Amino acid sequence: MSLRLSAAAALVVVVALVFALLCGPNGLAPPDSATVSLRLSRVMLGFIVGGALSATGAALQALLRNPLADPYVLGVSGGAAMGASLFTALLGAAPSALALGAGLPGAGVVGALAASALLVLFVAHDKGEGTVLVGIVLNAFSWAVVAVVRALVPASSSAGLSVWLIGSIGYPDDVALLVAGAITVGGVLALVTVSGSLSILRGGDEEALRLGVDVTRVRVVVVVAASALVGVAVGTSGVIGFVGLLVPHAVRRLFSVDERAVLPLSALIGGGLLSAFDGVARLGFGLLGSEIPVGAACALLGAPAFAFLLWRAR
Amino acid sequence: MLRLSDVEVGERLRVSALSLHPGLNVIVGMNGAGKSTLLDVIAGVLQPARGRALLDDNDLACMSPRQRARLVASLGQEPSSSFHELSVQARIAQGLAPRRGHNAGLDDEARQRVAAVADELGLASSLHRRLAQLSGGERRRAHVARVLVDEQAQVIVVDEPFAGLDRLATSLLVTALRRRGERHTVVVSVHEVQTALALGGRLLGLHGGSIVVDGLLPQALHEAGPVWGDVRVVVDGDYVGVLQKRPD
Repeated sequence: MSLRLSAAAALVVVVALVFALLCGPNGLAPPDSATVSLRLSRVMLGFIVGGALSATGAALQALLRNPLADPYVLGVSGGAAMGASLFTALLGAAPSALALGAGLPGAGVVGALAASALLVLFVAHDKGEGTVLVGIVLNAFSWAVVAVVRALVPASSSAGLSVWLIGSIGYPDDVALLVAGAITVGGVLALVTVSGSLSILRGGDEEALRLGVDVTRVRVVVVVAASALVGVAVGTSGVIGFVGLLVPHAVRRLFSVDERAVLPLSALIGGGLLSAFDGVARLGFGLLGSEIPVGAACALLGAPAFAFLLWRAR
Repeated sequence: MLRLSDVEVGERLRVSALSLHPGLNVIVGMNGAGKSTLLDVIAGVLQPARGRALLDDNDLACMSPRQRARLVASLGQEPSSSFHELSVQARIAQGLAPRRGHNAGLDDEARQRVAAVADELGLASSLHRRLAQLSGGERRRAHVARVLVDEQAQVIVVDEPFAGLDRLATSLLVTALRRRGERHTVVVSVHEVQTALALGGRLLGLHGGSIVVDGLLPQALHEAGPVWGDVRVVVDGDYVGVLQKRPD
């Protein structure tokens, strides 16, 4: 990727993060000394979650050779939400900060791993709409489990479980931020190490084999890293859809079609954009008297965009 | 030396013994004769149900994918259209990935190597164009250039590289393959008499999954049957029909 494109991408990220930092319930203004650390942690969490989801979307689109692939559409996020909601229910009404900070992402990772392993098993030889159909099945099952858990837990806990259906970026404590940040950096780096192989895999397993790609190893790396990234994103912020779908498409259109550039750029730009989006949600508080969950805002924009991609794919 | 022994792939291919030495090896045969299956076994991308493919006595099946790809550069019959968004340069450079690493970018040396192969196949002016912007014949040449770019591979395997090429492009590719045949073991499948004759080297004719013709060109064509001026090749009285005459 050229220096000019790298600079343009860096500029997008910086502008998005500065914008996010300035967005508050009282409009665009620098945060005061009392709220700066809270605001910063929320912006950082938005960056982590957006980066994790976008990098995962880019990797899944390349691995499955399906432009509609996205952790939300394919049910990986649903699997993570199922894991996290079960964990919340098992933990009871008064969980410790450590249990929430480390346990929720962990439970999310387990749920995402189960969903993505099932997905890859089902679609290993399917390059068409079957992939999305498997995602629909996984999502339906996951949402059903979340609904059952909500019905069974005490009312005090069930309200908190709605975050697994429509996510929102909150104010994380230090432990949650640290765990999410470390796992996300590790997951994105793991995906970047196989990004060259993913570029070749877009041409099919046989071509990849001819060019010396260890296809099984790449699949395992992507499934494990994607599960870790989505598990952490969902475990900390609930289900936020379509970021992982749209950001890689935008990066391919604006910057490069080479996965070696698409993966890191999707992570950075996706992180910046979700933070900025979350900033807009905070601005909404001043106008509407209530914050729109960023997951809902993403779905409102993402669903029509997904429909457009679906139409174009046909 | 690449050696196949007692290779069997279902009903598609049966080869009791075949040794391939540096030089050009031209594979001919009707559709379904087993050409692509043989080439895939030689390339190590298809594991035979029985038998072994050995390169200098090392079993291709026991090598890692990258180790094998460094030794055997190969291209299938129908490369994916998913690469159409890549530039010609990027597509050709993929052929260097087994040696340089799949994540490696293009350094000056690699860039020069890619440019040299593109020039050899008449693609110098298209180096920075996307494959989607090229004609079918130009795209074909870009894919073939991907397999010719690695000078250090011992074996080069190309399945029907001449499909859809015009006379000039065919001539450029014949020259490029003959040049590779001076140092490498080149295995290439063709359909046309003139192309086989222009390439020269060893002719292997397949019929029903077995090698029924094995000899040096051009004599092998005479031995194989009434080929000159005819599209038919007859072996031991059986119609093999492996070559098609190019219309004049």
